[in-house]
Amino acid sequence: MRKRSAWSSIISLAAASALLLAACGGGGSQSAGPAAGNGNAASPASAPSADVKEKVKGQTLNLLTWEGYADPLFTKGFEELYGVKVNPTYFGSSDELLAKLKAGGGSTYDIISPSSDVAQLLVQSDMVEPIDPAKISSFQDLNEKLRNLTDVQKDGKLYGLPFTWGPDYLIYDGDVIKEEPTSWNIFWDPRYKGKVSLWDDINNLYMMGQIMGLDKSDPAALYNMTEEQLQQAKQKLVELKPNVRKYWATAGELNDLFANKEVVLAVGWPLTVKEVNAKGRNLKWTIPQEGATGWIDRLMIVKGTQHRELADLYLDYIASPKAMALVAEVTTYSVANPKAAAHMTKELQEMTYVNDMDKMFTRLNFWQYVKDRARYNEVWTEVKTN
Amino acid sequence: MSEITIQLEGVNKFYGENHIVKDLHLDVFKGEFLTLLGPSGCGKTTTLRMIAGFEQPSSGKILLAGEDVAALPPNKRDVNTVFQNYALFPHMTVRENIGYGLRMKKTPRDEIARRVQDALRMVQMEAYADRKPRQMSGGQQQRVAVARAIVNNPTVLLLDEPLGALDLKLRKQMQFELKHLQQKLGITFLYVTHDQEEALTMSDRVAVIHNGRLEQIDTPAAIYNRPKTRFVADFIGETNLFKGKVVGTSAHEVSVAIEGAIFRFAHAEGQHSGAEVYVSVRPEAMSMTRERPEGEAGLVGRVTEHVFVGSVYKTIVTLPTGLEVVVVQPAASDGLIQQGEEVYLTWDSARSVVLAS
Amino acid sequence: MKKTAVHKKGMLLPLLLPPAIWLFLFLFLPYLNLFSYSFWKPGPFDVVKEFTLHNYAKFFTATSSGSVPYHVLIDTVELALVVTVFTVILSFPLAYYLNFKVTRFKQTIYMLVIIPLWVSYIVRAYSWKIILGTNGILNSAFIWLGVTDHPLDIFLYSKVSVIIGMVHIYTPFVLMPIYTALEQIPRNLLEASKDLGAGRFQSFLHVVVPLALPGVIAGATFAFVLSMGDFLAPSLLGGPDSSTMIANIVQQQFGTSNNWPYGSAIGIVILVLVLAILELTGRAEKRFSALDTVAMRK
Repeated sequence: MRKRSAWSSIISLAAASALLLAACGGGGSQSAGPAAGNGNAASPASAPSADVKEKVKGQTLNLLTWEGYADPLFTKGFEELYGVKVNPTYFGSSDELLAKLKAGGGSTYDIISPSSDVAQLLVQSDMVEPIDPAKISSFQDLNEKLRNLTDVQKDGKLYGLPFTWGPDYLIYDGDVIKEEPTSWNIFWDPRYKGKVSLWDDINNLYMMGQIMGLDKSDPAALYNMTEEQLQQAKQKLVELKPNVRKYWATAGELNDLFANKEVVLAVGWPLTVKEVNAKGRNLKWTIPQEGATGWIDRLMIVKGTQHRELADLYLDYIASPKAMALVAEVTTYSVANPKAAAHMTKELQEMTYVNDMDKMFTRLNFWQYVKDRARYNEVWTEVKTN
Repeated sequence: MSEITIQLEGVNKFYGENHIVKDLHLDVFKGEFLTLLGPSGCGKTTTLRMIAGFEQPSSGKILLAGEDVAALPPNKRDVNTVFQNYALFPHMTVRENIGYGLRMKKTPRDEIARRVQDALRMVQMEAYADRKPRQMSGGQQQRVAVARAIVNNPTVLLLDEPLGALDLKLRKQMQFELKHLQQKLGITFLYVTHDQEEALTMSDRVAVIHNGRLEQIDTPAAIYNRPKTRFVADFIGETNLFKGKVVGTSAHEVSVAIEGAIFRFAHAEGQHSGAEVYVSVRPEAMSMTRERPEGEAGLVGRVTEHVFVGSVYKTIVTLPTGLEVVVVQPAASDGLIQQGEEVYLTWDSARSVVLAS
Repeated sequence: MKKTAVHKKGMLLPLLLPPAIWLFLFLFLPYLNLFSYSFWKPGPFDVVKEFTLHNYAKFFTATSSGSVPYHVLIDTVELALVVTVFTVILSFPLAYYLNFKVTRFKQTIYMLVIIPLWVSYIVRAYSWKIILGTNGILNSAFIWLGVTDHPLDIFLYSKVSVIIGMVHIYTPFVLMPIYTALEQIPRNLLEASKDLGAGRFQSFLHVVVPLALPGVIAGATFAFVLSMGDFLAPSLLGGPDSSTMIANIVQQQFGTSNNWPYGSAIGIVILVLVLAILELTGRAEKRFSALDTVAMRK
């Protein structure tokens, strides 16, 4: 599970406001795409029929999402297109999502945006309805690998629409480490004593699994480690401790660690690279030979939703290149539709790796449901309190 | 001639602009019970504190047993103080309180125990030895405070209005106890109070202080019967002050015109013809008669108050000029004087004092 | 009037009722809730309301890799003790100086010590990051003074920085009761002590310290209990070995680990421990308190 940092929300809001201002002022900085500044033109490839519009007019679509995933920048277009309202409720952690969903159900929420740590659980627990790819015009445009992830499939049906994704890759200070690292093992290099940072999360166990080569044959192996393997992972992490300056809890914290030159190596997100380099530094990233893990957020339809048709229309809307491009602008996350590049600035394209998805995916192991999550958490705590 | 324990020479004390103690010269004799008496704010407590060492004189010298103590802090002076509100250590028992000073001087333990026991006996507080101050009444705490001070055998014991917070009956009892204690121990007591009756009861000598100045220092009887200044006469006991003018002097007598009549008194120094003086006559030295007195000078007035006060009759006679004269007579005497009656006032000139203005 | 007595009693009840209701709703009920949760089982979405003692057993039993959860509690207690000692060492001289040596601007200086309390904890913790960091003020000063030739890591993201942060943040809580206790010492007691021959240090030792003791105990208790429950300082200022105290473990259970019953159980264990300590220090305070019940005039 990925924790949303306050920073990313602030950045999203700031970016959104800046973009809105730019749009209102005539928008000189955006070069690509005529409509990439206001939310109006993000329309589906096929215009909706008149009687569909009539049917859903006046309804309210209830979203239960991470902050930033219901930004007016892109939801406004949907609202105007169908004459409906989008009503977002936010959660700050996967647990909150589960709790709210359990409490509200289909009568309260229509669409949710679970991360990969709970997606399978939701499918298996019958909390969501299958989506209908036929109703999503851009579906085939979405990246193939993302489309075909099995954790949200059941009995041949697909339950989740790929929305945003991101890597947990290796970040290093280009001014200090001149040669691109090839392996995660650089973290253990005594030269970098007290100069490394890891995320305070069980993701580190997946990482150790990758370093141990567990997922060479089966990606799911990282998420189903045996006790013995967990102990091995724990051992490696304990050995790493002298090199660790701090375990970062929020992306903002990692930004500060790099900015203040407390660390030169870390596992982190693209957000950090972007923000710290914006201050004039030289952070670089790489996916080492062992690979890296990645997260993916999906949109799902709540079981028993009161607005199934509207939900389908929303999925159709949001999957389109223009809508996806807006989502990328607001959140700075990578999105699932490569065609969104057409509506992105060069900078945004680079930042979201929208043109390099397949290349990245060969080296990314997307998170999956961990059955023994409790034990993983325990082991990670044992590492910290060792 | 008695030994002098404390000597104050030209001591002055200023608080900012306020001149609290003015050029004080005082000798305290060894073994005497001397009281500094005066109204609130007159500087008596300040003087005591300077002797103890809690204040420094602005100028002048203080000598204890012949030594200038200016450089000595309180803990090095051989004096102990009984504080106004006892200042007992609340976290210590009575025994520990009393033994505190001895403990600080690193006295051997068995000696401390013995001396503390003696002190307890002297103030009759043996039964309370292991109590804490909060478990005792004001009077009991006061005794402990005294014990705590005397156990150290100081050269001088300073007492700062120690009986002020006690009720009347207890106060009177404690006055006698303290007096007897002092006589028994032989320690010099320097006592401070604003209660003149207390001062007269307990002291060998009384020093009357007014506005930072020493008005008179004398035995209680002398203070009472032969006040040297108008303030002393007025402050000590009750008195009638007649304003008058010296009209004639001779070798042995001085004639003073008061309220129109001429009175003769024993000659006192510093009085010359024309001087304005006050004649002090105590109420009990006044006589009241219905008939005009033969040959003696007298004043006439009207009785405006006549009250029975337990042991005496107190009568207020108002003179034609408006001056109110207080007359006190034993209850056994004539109580038949009525309010509104006209009476004649005379007095024994031997029992009156002529004072400068 | 006949009504007056009844009227008065009737007036008391409505006055007491709001705070009583508040306490019931926001103190008693939540604790009761916590207590109930500690006996239930965790589930994938929500808590399963079946009775179990497993949560408590789990806390005191070694896991399959041999580590025992309650050791974190012991580590936290140690840390809290260290913080307590340092805050008292810092606060007492400061309170003493303010009380006995400062004559002018006493109130102002006192406020200067207390006012930082009103600044957010996180802001203060962050400012320590700036001071103690690799390129922070402290390291820069040391290098400039020639004490070291390279920045020292130990100042930040270590037990040292966690302790520094906590000491800084909890000192006002310790200073206040000590200051108050010192303030209440009647000055004539010190004069009496001097009068009886005690030197400055003796007066301090025999009069000031015993009478200030209840205040010191109260302040130390504050520091200890607050430190026990602190999860911010470890999380913001701690390093790999010092970022996980017992409060962080509890926080985790209500967050990523999604195990509210276990978190509740640990919470109850901490609560019992803290209550036991409060009982002890409360008794100690009473035993040493001498001032408040003496009828000291003036």
